Amino acid sequence: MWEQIAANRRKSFLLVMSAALLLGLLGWAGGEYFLGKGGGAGGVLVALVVWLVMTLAAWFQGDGIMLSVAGAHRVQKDDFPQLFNIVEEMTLAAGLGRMPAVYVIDDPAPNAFATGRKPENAAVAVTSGLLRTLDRDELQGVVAHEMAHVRNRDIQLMLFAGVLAGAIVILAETGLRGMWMGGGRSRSRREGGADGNGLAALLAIVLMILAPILAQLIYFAVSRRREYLADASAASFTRYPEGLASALEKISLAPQRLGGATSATAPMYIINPLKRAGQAAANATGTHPPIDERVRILRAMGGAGFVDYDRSYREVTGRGGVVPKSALAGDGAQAPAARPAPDRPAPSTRENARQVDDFFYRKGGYRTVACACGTTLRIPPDFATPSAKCPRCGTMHDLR
Amino acid sequence: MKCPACRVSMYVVEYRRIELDLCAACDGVWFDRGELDLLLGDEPVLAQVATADEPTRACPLCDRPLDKVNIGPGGRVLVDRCPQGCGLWFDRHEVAELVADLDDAAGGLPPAVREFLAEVFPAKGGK
Repeated sequence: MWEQIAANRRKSFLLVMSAALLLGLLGWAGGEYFLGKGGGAGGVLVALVVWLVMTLAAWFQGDGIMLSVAGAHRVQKDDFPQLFNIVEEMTLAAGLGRMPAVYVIDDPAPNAFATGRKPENAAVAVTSGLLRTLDRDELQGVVAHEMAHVRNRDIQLMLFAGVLAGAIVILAETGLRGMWMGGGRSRSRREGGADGNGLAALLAIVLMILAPILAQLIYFAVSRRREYLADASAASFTRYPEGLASALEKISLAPQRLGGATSATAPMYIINPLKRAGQAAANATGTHPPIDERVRILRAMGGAGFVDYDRSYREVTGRGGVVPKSALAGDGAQAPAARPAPDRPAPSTRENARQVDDFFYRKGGYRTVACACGTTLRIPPDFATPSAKCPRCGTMHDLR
Repeated sequence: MKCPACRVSMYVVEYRRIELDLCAACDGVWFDRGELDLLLGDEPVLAQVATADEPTRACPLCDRPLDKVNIGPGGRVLVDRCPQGCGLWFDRHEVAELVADLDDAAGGLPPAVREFLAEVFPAKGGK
């Protein structure tokens, strides 16, 4: 397993280097264009400063921003005992030293993500829709997948990759806007123009159009492979690939679209939140591999080890393996999961749903009124009427 | 959640661990997809999409215009359904019509939904 983490580090390094090169090139071309001949160095400096500021912001605030953009609430064991239990189990299974903080997002679309700079201060967030929709085995599969992202240090890599891509996009857009408004070179053009700058201008335009696309492609290439590895790890942690397979299926079939997701945060979720049902194009270019493929690989594993996943991956996709060699050698095939799922008592999903809702009613400042006829009324804080009627028995409940 | 008809905050009524969103201003009822699932499992709500001169409402969750669908006895009751599957919206009189005569064929609306509505909104003068 250690080589896998080392491989991720090497890949992080390569990724950061190629994206940094792109950023530098963009800065140089922009500098040559806007600052005149010889201004390339200044442009590179500007690009580096933008990147540094964004990286520092992400390093110190990234997970906080991410969690607040997504509207996540930190929860404690008393709020969601089952979820906490599962996170504790998977912390042990993943061999993490410290349990990640647990967050819940009030959103009917089932989804989940992990974030944080280091495994030591990671956070795992799930939506209320996920808690309502999944049974325990499925929830365990999803949490295991997120824990794998934490353990494999994917979250750190994606944070940096996202910042670099973001810096490139911002610089390119600013540059293009500057050109559009006729900045920079207009003066030197009046002066007859320097020959060397013609090339720089052309390069600048091409780079400003291509760089954001390249940055995203680098980002996607890395994030897609992470997903397969996290699926393989989740199967190994839970020793029950069917849990995650069934969860992925349920999540992908849910009709709701996640409200708090943007294209910047999309790769952090277990399933691409921006993809709409039946939108095939997203499968080819998205940050996440096609879901039906992920499900088929998990279902064809036979066992629950990395070897089983790798073999299944080759069979289903027809491509080369996806799991690093050392993980295959060290882990070996794991015995098929002996988990008689139907024997377990079926989780009471109504109780589950009410537990999730109760938490957000408390958070949202709702008032609870118990009616004598057996109904419970929940009154939102911005309720306009001074009384509320129980529809069942007709009692008017005074709210003043 | 805001009422798709009056745009004011709705209150929630929970009965037998199932929730409905009610509008105090117009007495309309939102039956959320998540709650329908809790009641029905995977059984779909089948209904014919219809056209009507009733005002078009927007889904309180995804903001898409709601489809008009015919359900209930003889397909006569026209309710609103989110095209994305977020839930169902019943105007006040629609709930009353649906629960007025439970022996009538339900026409697309699963019996469990109708029975649940009848329990929460007992027909006037009924049991």
